[in-house]
Amino acid sequence: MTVTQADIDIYAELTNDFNPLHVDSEFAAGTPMGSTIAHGTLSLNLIWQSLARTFGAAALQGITLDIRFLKPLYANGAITAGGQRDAQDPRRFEVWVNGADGAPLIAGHARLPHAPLP
Amino acid sequence: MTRLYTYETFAPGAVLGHWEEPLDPRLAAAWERLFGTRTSDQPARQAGLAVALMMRAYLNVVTPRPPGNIHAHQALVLDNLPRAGEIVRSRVRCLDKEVRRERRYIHLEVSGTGEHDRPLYTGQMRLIWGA
Repeated sequence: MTVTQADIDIYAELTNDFNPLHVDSEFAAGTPMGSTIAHGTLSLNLIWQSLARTFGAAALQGITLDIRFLKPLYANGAITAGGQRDAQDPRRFEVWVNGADGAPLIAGHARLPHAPLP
Repeated sequence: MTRLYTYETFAPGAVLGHWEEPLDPRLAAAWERLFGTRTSDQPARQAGLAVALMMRAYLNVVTPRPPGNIHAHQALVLDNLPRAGEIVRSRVRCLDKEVRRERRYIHLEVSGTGEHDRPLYTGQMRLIWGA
């Protein structure tokens, strides 16, 4: 997904989060970020899609998620989400959202108590 | 006007407030504008809307805020996915705060319940506070 400023503005409406770092280019230009960035939880939706498409609706019931927002996603940046099952714990998954250069923007893990076992 | 929420305002352990609103069709429509309408994405949409309701509760309770806060970490338990039209009641609590490497960190918990008090979510977020 490529996240445009228009997408960020819609997500601001959805969450009622009009932090100027997200929606005010003049304000954002005066911060260390340099320009507007997407809400971290906007990108999180790609992890939900990845999990739901892979395991179905039941897998999201009772899910536990722990993630860090490592790097900002700037307007017009492209992101990809994915994950990998833990070899030692089949209900635990490493999850991530990467930027266009492959660098992780979000990283963490999810536990899916209802995920099908391999 | 309500006093600005600065780092000094937060008291660890204190309940900051409650927020109640329905999972409005307009929110679902906004989500679909961003992420599409695939049938297989419906559970993802409801999970995303649970997070949106969590953020809305935090942002409606903890207001006004200084500009430029940064969301650094998020933990979340999704007990159940919210249903369309369901009234969601959320409680916002300050868990902790600390200054680390000259940054002000605020640790908040937002927990939400739906109809008949069924548990929906408990989110813990760590924010770098602007002032």
